[in-house]
Formats: sequence, structure tokens, C-alpha cells
Amino acid sequence: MKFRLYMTSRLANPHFSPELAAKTTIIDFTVTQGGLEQQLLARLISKEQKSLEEQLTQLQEEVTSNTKVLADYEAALLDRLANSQGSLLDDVELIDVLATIKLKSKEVNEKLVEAREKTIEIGEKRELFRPVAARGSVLYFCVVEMIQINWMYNTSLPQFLTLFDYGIDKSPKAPAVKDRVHNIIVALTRKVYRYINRGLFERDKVTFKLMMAMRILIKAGHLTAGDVGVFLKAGAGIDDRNKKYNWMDQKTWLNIVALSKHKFGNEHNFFFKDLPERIGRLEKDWKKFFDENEPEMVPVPDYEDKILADQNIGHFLHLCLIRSCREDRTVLACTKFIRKVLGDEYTQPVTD
Amino acid sequence: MRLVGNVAKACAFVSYCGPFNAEFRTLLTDQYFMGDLGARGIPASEEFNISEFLVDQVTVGEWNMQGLPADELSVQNGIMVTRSSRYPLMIDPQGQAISWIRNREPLLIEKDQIITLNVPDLRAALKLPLMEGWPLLIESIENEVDPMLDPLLEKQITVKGRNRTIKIAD
Repeated sequence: MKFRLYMTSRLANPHFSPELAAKTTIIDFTVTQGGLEQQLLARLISKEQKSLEEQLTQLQEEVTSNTKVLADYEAALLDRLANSQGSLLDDVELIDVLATIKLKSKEVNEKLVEAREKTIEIGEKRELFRPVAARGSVLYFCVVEMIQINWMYNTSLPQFLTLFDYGIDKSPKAPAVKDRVHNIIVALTRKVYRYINRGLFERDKVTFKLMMAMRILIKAGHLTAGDVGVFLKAGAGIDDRNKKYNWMDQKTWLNIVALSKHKFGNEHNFFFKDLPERIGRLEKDWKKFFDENEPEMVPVPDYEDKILADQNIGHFLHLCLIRSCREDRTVLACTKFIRKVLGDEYTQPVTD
Repeated sequence: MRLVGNVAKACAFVSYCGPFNAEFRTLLTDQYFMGDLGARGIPASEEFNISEFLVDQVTVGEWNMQGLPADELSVQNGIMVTRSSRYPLMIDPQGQAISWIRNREPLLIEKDQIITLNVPDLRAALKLPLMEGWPLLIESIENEVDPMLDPLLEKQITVKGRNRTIKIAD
């Protein structure tokens, strides 16, 4: 037996010296969103459709052994050819061997083709469950990111996997895969939310839910990281002295300019492009909107229909608008946004 | 023959790609290494899967049975742990590497060879596995590694007759 040394580090982002890097092979085992998705998919399938995962493993084994057999045949053939004496045509034995090898290799090749087709078929069936794995992965990274708010919010991967299994086991069964997938997603999201929410300080709860909602929209391809950036920063990074309206303060004006300059969503749509000018056209309505007690609950002047028409990111656009116009109402607008994206249940007070 | 370029690429991959995430590894192999080979006029396959080149399906299946996750990044990591000539130092915040290594090396648990750098007598802890040829797992490395390990990491082995010896901290 040979001595083997393994070293592991728990630190997520360690700073190793160059000397150490030269003496060892540093390997990053950190889970990524895509990697975790694949792992969760395998985990889910092995629970949900055990036979499918077993079939896949069996097939892979068959393919390997068949490929090996094929290689062995070829080697044997070459060996024969090299060591045959006299005229090849007189060697009856060799001709027999050739014939069998030809037959066998044909057989093996057929099996390989069959296996390849089956692998594709199984792959397609597995793909049907991918949305669950994708959601699981998104949720895990939401949960893990909470560490940045408070060190106490650490959650381990095994801990999360228990939640993931719970979501699969406790969600209602359904005959159609599509319904089943939907059921698991709902149950899983709810379970993770309730579990994590229980351990959060009151002031961090909205943050967690908001992150969940945004990450889900990003994963669905509706939002981009840039959109979230605009929501967070708004007008903080720009400078514009040409404020058009006296009743507006400078900060709000910058926010509005920032909105007008941002391309929203994956379609890169300048949704609020003419906002600074269009406020002028309906100045009275806009001023009323700005002075509203609960601006997040009343229709937005001018843009209301357009916002409602955007099924994917309409809620987000509304959230950005409220955040830009009335920063004091941002938290309430967030709650509304969470309710629209995740469901009523996520904004109601919970007692557990 | 493209073998030369492919082997160069695989070597570079095992030697240098470990510390990086999946995206950067792809960037390095597909663009940086490929570009370098191209500039030097060494032919290499355009469509080249490093994992398939370095490991066969059966071995990957075995790793998966031992608890290594099945995604591409983990398979690459498996290759680097098993194929690199230097000892692996794994960045493992989620504990996936540990759980794999523990299953892969049953002797670790049987012979109680999982230690940290904070053991009272590191020299004594190293002695037995080195003599017996057991595996040794050092957990929870912080940013520094005890310099006592240096001769081991550098594999400063001297051969005396039929024995291979290593000198650790006098």
C-alpha cells in the first residue's frame, strides 16, 4: 500500500500562499448553481423514478463492457494476423476466427447503438424533472447568501438536502409528471421559506423573501442582474442637473433619469425611456401620485396599462418605479412584489 | 496526429485548473490553452472533452458510488485528486470532498487517520501512516500549512537500498 495524503479546507475563499499552491494541487470543490442543479436532479430522480436512474447506470455499465469486448476482439484479430504463417488464404482456422469476429462485432455495435438511443430516451424523461432541480438550486443559493447579512444564518448543504427530500416526500402525488413537478416546486419553496424564515430576525425577513422572488425571476430568464442593480442603486450613480420639475427633489429626479436609461429584462427594453418627459404631459396626475399616502396601491398614471400588460416583469417594473419615486414606500412595495411573485402566503404573518 | 496537443492540454488542465470554478476552467482550456497551442503550431482536437480523455465511464461510476457528485465539475475534481502528482488540497465548504474521500479510503476511518493540524504531536501523527502506507486526511486547513509538512509535500524521498525514507522535522 502506498501512503496517500489528502487535505481539505472549510474556508470558502481561502488565501493560500504561492508556495503552498506550488506544492499541492488546490482543487475547488465549491458547489455551483449549475452543478448543484445536476446533483439535485439525480437525487430527485433516484427518489421519484428509481427505475430510471437504475436503468441509466445499467446502460452505462453495458456500454463500457461492450466497448471493452469490441476492443478485445480487435486486438485478438490483429494478433492472429500478425502471427499467421504461410498464405493467409490457406489458414482455415484464421478464416473461421475472422468470420466469428465479424459477427460478434456487428452484434456489439448494434447493442451500442441501441444503448445510445435508450440513453437519449432516458435523458428526455429526466429533463422533465429539471424545473424542480433548478428551483432547488436557486433556493439553496438564496439561503446561503444570507450569511452575508449575519454570520448566524449559516445553513449547511446536508441541512438543505433534508429540506429538499422533505419537499419531495410531503408533496401530493400526481399521475402526470407536469403536475407532480409543480406540486414538488410549490411544497419545496414553501418548506424552505418557512424553515429559514423561522431563524431570521424580523428585519431580515423581507430581504430573504425579496431575494427569493428576484432569484426565481432571474432563473426563469425574465430578469437580469442589471435589473436588480437598478432597483438597488437607482440614481445613486448618475449626475443630472437639468431637473425639470420644481416639486420634485433632486434625488427622485436622478432616480427617474436612471430608470429611463435602463434596459429592462432579457429583451433589453427601454421601458421607462420617455418617463422624464411624459411626467410633464400629465404633471398634475403625477404630482398627485407622488403625494399619495399609499402610492404602491394606486394605479400609476400613464404607465398603468403598460405595466399590467407585461406578465413577466410587470411587478418588478412597478417595484422599481415606487422605489424611485417614493423611497419611503419601498419596503411596502417589496411586500406587494413578493406577494405577486411568490403568492399570498409569503407575506402573511407566520406564527411558527 | 493530435495526440501531442491533447496531452498537453490535459496536463495543463490537471496542473493549473484546480483552483478555479467551472466557467473559468472552460475559458482556460478552450481559449487560453487552445490559443497557445495554435500559436505554437501544435495540432489538437477542436472538440475535446478532457474528462473523457482522462477517465473512463466505469471509474466515474465508481466515484459516484463512493459519493462524488455526478456533475461535470465534480468529475473534473475527481480526476485532479486521483491523477495529480502533488497531494490534493481541497477547498470544500460544503463537505462534499470529505464525504467522497471518506468512502473512497475506508482505511481512513478504520485506522482513525483523520486529523487536523492542531493535533498535539503532528510528527507522531504522520509517522504511522507513512510507515504503514495508510491514507491520511488533514481536515480544516486554514490559510497556512505547518512547515513541518513541507518535506512531505515536496516528496523529499531518499532511497536507501530497498527502503524509501523521508525526513520530517529531524
